[in-house]
Amino acid sequence: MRIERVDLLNFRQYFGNQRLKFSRHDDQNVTIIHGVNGAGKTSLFLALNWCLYGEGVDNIGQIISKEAISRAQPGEIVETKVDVTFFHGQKRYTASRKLVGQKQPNGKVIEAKTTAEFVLMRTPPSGIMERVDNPIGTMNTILPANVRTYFFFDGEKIDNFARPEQANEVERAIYQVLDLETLTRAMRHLQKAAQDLRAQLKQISTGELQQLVGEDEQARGRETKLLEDRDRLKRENGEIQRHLDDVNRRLRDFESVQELQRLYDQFTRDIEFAQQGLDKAIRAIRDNVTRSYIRFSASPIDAALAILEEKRQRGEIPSNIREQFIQDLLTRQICICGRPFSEHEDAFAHLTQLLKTATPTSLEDDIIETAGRLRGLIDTGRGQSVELDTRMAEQVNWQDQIASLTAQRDDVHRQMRGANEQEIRELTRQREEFSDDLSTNLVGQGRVEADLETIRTRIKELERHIEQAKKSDKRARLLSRKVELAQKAADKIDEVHGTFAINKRIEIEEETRRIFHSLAWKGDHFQDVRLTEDYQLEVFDRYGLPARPELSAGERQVLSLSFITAMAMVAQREAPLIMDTPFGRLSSAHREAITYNLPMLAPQLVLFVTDEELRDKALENLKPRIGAEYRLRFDANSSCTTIEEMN
Amino acid sequence: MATLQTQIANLFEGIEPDVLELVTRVLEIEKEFLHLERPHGVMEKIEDALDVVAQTSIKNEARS
Repeated sequence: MRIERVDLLNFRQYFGNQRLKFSRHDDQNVTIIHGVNGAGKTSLFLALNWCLYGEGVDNIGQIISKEAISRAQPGEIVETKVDVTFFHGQKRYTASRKLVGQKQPNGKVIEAKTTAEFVLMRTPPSGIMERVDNPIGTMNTILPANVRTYFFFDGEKIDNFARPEQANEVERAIYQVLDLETLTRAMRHLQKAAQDLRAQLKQISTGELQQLVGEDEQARGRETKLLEDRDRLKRENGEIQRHLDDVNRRLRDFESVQELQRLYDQFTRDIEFAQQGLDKAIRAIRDNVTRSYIRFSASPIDAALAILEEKRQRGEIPSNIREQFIQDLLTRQICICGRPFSEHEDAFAHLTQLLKTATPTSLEDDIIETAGRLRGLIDTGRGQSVELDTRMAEQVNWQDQIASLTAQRDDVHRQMRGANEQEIRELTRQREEFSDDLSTNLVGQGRVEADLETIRTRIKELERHIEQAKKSDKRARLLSRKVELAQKAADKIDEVHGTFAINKRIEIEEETRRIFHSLAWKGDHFQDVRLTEDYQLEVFDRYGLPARPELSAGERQVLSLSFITAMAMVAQREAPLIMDTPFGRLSSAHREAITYNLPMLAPQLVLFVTDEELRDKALENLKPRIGAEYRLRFDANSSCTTIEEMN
Repeated sequence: MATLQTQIANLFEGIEPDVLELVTRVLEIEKEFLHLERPHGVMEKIEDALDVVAQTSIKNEARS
């Protein structure tokens, strides 16, 4: 979506007809709208939102121009209308929203905002304009209303994503912008459909099938409960981890335990590293054990090889060279000792006899290849044993390291607990409690995972039995197929959703990191930006410590902006970035970095700014990318604003 | 880079044709209702889609 123009008629302080054309060129994709405070920047921003989505005008008073109302006679109809013309795909659209009111004898106009008429016209490449049947649905397909807030926003209010308590907001944004919401809903609805259909199937079935369906229903109920438990534990773990981070952050501020806390942090990082090593070793051991049948086959392989060797030695299986070798001797009629012989001699007869007892060449090859493969298997088995020994040694080593590091960290913790300051003692006590809660929860989570595996195996068994039982029941067949399809579709969406969400989270993390480093003037100080598994947007300083709580308001705004643009890039949504007062709270270094980089991060950029927030180097940076520029002139005599195009 | 829709569609490559047909239909229905927080009528549409896909699936199975 790229906006071409906005036409206003009697919208708030914009009296009469007024028009703004937005720049849509790739190399000059910036439109600037200058205006002092109160000139009408936010009204213009609202006009866009109201026209496209009918939102944002509930608490702003009269939206029909007061000047238009004052000029109307009592009983006369007055109206406001906003048209937004934009391109999407290969088509051109014009969205229009109109609101009418009748002037009352007391001079007022009653606006029924909810009855505003919305029309969407579309011009395909063929050139014939048509009215869109489902304008709201179509508009939401182009840029959904809930996604729009991440593209059209108040620059001063966007630091939310960088606030510690806003993990849910970050997660929601990713879900909405990346269409994960569609997948989540589809999965939920298909599961519900499968559940309802199973209940129907149970009603119409009898005997064995009914019993199996009942068992299946119970097992799935148990699975749902376990999944809920798992999600709850994960959420709780995220919460506890956040509390722990907060306690550690607060402890870092106490000078008397700063060194001890630094050691504690270092041990924590080392434990995490060792844990990763341990996990890797355990995965390798599991993988090795899965392939271990080869090792256990060593004895039969040896026996098979011995039989083959014995047969070969007895001449029942000649070597691969034997047949060709005898053929050569017979052709040349010269013995290997160099003595010639003729067809009538015993030597010739003996060699001919030997040739007859030779097995066919292909069989010889097969036997030799088989023996080779058997030896290869023995070698593989030996290699696996060596690898298993190595991995098990690694596992023990990592476990020892974790135990040692944990003991050292506990020792540091104990020293901190004995500190003189009451607050430090209290914080270390809290840390102990949170750590205990976390480890209890992790054990619980492991138990739930194991139970899930068991119940899923049982469900698979039941599915097989149900499949057999239902074949005889024609009526149940359709229902059963529906259940099967709905469940398979839900499972597949669940699987895809999981993979997709992880991949996209990682992509957004990488893009956010890259963009943040290009926008933040203290890029060297903030070494890393991470988007954690529980959707915490975190910044790490040069010491590897979490630094988000220390970010200034401006830095939070830059981090949020980096996240929003990263999401838009990963989602590949072609939508304009429209920002109202984007630089108000930013220092000149951030303004300069943003104005230099932002035009390259969005297909179309529209900025509503005051002269104070966009000047000097920041304005210079934007100049080459500006394709359209306007000034909002507020007339104090009429209380109306006029849009003036700047040259 | 492929559009988001193409990326999502690619994730479903290789699954059973009947399941793929159902997934495609259901995702279309969900997109239609996505802007509504508490959509009404979405389950009915999904059940209709399930009915059509399941009947076709059984017919195809009988033919083969």
